[in-house]
Amino acid sequence: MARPEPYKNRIELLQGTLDMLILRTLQWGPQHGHGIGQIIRASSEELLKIEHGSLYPALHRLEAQGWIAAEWKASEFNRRAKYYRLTLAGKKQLTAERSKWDLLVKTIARVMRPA
Amino acid sequence: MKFWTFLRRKRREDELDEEIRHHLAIEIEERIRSGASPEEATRDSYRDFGNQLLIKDVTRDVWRCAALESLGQDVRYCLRLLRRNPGFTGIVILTLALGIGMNTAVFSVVDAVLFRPVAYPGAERLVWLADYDFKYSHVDNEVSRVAFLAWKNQARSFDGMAAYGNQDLALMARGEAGQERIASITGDFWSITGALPSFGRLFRPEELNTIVLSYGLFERRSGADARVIGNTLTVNGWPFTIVGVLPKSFPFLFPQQWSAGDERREVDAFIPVPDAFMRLPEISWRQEVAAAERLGPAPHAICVVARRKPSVSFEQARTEMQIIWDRVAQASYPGWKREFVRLSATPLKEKLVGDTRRSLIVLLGAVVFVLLIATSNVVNLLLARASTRHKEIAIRAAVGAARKRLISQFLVESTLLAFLGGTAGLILAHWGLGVLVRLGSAAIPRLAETKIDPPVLLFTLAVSLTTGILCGLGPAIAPWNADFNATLKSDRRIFSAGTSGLRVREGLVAVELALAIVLLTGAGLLLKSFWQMNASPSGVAPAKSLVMRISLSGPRYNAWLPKQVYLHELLRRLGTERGVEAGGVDCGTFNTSVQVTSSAMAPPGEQGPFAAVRFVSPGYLRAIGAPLVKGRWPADNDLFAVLVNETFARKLSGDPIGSHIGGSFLSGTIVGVVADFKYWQLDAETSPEVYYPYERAPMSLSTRVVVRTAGDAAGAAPAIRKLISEIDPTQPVYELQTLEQALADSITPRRFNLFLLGTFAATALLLALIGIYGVIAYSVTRRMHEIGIRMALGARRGEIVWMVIRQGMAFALLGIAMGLLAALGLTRLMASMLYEVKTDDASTFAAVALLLGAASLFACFVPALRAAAADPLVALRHE
Repeated sequence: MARPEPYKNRIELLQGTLDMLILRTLQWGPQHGHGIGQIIRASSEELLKIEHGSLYPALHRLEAQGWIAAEWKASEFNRRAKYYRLTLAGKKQLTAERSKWDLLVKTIARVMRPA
Repeated sequence: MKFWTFLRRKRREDELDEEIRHHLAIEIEERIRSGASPEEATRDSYRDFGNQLLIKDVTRDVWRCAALESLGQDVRYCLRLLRRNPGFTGIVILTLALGIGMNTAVFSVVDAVLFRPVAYPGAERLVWLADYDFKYSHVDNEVSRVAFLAWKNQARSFDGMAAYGNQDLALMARGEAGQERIASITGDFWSITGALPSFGRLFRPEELNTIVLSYGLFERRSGADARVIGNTLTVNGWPFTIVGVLPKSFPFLFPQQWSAGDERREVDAFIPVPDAFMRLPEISWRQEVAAAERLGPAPHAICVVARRKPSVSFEQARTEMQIIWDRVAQASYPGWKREFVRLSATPLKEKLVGDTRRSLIVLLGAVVFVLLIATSNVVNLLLARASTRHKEIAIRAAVGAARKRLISQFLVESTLLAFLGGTAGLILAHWGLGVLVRLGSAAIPRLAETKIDPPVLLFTLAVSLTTGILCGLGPAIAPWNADFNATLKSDRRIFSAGTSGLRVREGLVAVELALAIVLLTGAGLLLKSFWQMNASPSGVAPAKSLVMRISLSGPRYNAWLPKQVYLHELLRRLGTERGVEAGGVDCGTFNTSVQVTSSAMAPPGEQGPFAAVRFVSPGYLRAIGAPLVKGRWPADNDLFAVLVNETFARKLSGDPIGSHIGGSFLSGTIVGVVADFKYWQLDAETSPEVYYPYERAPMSLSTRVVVRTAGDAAGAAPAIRKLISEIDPTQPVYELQTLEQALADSITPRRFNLFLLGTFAATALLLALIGIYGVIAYSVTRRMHEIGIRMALGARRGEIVWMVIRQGMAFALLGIAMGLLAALGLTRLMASMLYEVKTDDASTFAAVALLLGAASLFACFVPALRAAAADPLVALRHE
């Protein structure tokens, strides 16, 4: 690639966490695909960059599983955009994934920094 | 269904496109706002987004997977497993292909023969009406003219009634003579068959001397020239005007009269029955023939088909016909006829299908048995394999696979196998049908209509699906109750399943054997019937006799006398031909009661025994090879010498030689008795027969010539054909074959049944033996460790063999016993397919039981020997 890589300190996304991040992002309200990517990037202080190659398949997978629902609405630029929102099942899933995540982080931290 | 899926997919594609376009648009606007030039922004945005096509592709996968994810995974997993075990997969697919293929083939025959309607309008309402001779001839294909006219006038249940009779007559067109099959028709024949002319028109019943040609005849004899309408041709010397030609697609589907020869020949042309002939009163046969000579070509006998009104049920129609029939019989049938003739009213299709229905249903049942055996074998194989996979399944359950998923996986596997088997089965069926149609088209009506069409494909699909689910159910339920913990802890890979699985499999094999016994018994009974039929008295050598027919029609043979002159000349020439031991003619049969008295002068007693009186020349019986039991052969010029067969002789009290016969046109002296033997129809009962000089017969129907040759009969055929055609080249010789061949042909339907049932039984036997072998071999493998211990403790090899055989034969004998019981009940269904064999024929049952017992013993013996040959040290370590 000729273009300089803008995010030097990028973190590789852990496998399986993208779904959780998407669900988390949608907790603040419905958003379209581009917005979701932007929010994740912004809230990670530019450390996480979501590959579009995985974002859109992930959105469709979550939709098929019934965790998020989609709706066509006018976007901020007055264009028709596909807005995703969290469903009830998605909220439950998010809670479950979050507690699993917390446990994982705690456990790994304990292993890495033994008392 | 497919269309909606397509539409939905299309909408989703569009939406995804729009979603991506929207994303890029925002991206570009943001970049422009932060100072990039529009071109730069666009280029960078696209590059940043990555490969759109790839992203779409991955997303599409997500859609597909969400719907079919688990199924797809299962299928892929199964295919992988199946590919890894090509031997196992091959055997299962082959077994299922055999079962499903045979079922498909037989079903398509049943579908064509029994289910598909006859190709006439309102065919399901067509009714066959006839006088049925329930006492002697058992035929129901003749109606008197008087009865037909009365029925047609009086019956209110029908919207049409037609009569027809077919004959092979001499047709002269464009200066060429040829023998053609002509149907004489009257009544509503055209409307019942729904016939419309290809061109020209159809005649009305009262239009004398008009003819409608079939398309085949039109092409063959008129050069397919449409200007032929209005031309004249002659039938048996009578002029006929061609008024129309039927389309190529018009079929003549009604039963044809057997006396006309080959029943399967196409009808070539249609002429009306002369009205004056129809109106003749009930007269003797001889008078009828004379009338036909006076009035124009007319059928010897007519058949009647009527079409019910849609509002009238078959039962109502039959009831009305019965009343009319009784009235007509009372008024115009002679006493002897009233005594043994009844009304026969049958739906036309049933009449066409006839006895075939029963044998087809038996064959269909048999082939379902084969499928059941094949299915059990596959279940056994799958169960055996499932038990080796218990550990794998336990692990998958432990890491969180839902039981539902595990079960669905087995079902997917078996259904997949069944579909593969079904596909292979279709190929097998297609090939097998070719063989069937070639073998059996003379045996089974409508067989040629058989094809693999959508209903058959649907049947195959349904059978495959059912088989697949049946096969998968056992292995799928097995892990349902399994204790996965125990399985995981156990370090033996196979042993942990316990013995309950083996019990199930032994039970299945016992059922297989029982089913095989039923099929083998059926086949055995047919085989024995076959032997009975082919048993003929010593001295008869049907391979040395030639039989053939000559028709003697055309203007020169309008009367009986010129025919006799011809036959006399024929016999004279045969008598002087080298290599001919004897020659004779048979000019037809007349069923009548024969009075027998001690002398010609004695007063006629009461009605004598009923017999088939055959009009033959003196050399006929010698030519056909009938052994003389008593008395002498008649001299060549003795017109009053009569022979009888043993069955007839048994009906008389005292010595038949020298007795006189009388009654109707008969008179003569019995000079000899010939042995009972079959010279025409192998599976017919021997009837009492009287052989009467043909010169004194009232008339002749059809002429059969028999020639006994000194050497090879088939080799002499061309010379004989030439000799006969030299007498009068316009009279063709046809159906020339050896008597042996003619006899074999006479039981083609039975041979067809035997062939099919035999094939099914052999397949069943093979599959059942594979089944026993499989279970025993598997059980020996499981018990290797135990066998090792036994041997270490001092068991001798003979004891090991005996132990394995005892285990195998226990359920084999159980299966055989169940099978014999089932066969006892089921073979009763095939009573009409047997000949001089009882359905519970003890020797057949014993032979079948012995055969299967011995075969099972052999199948157990192989793994037993393997067990005994094992090295105890190796066996002990065996896991």
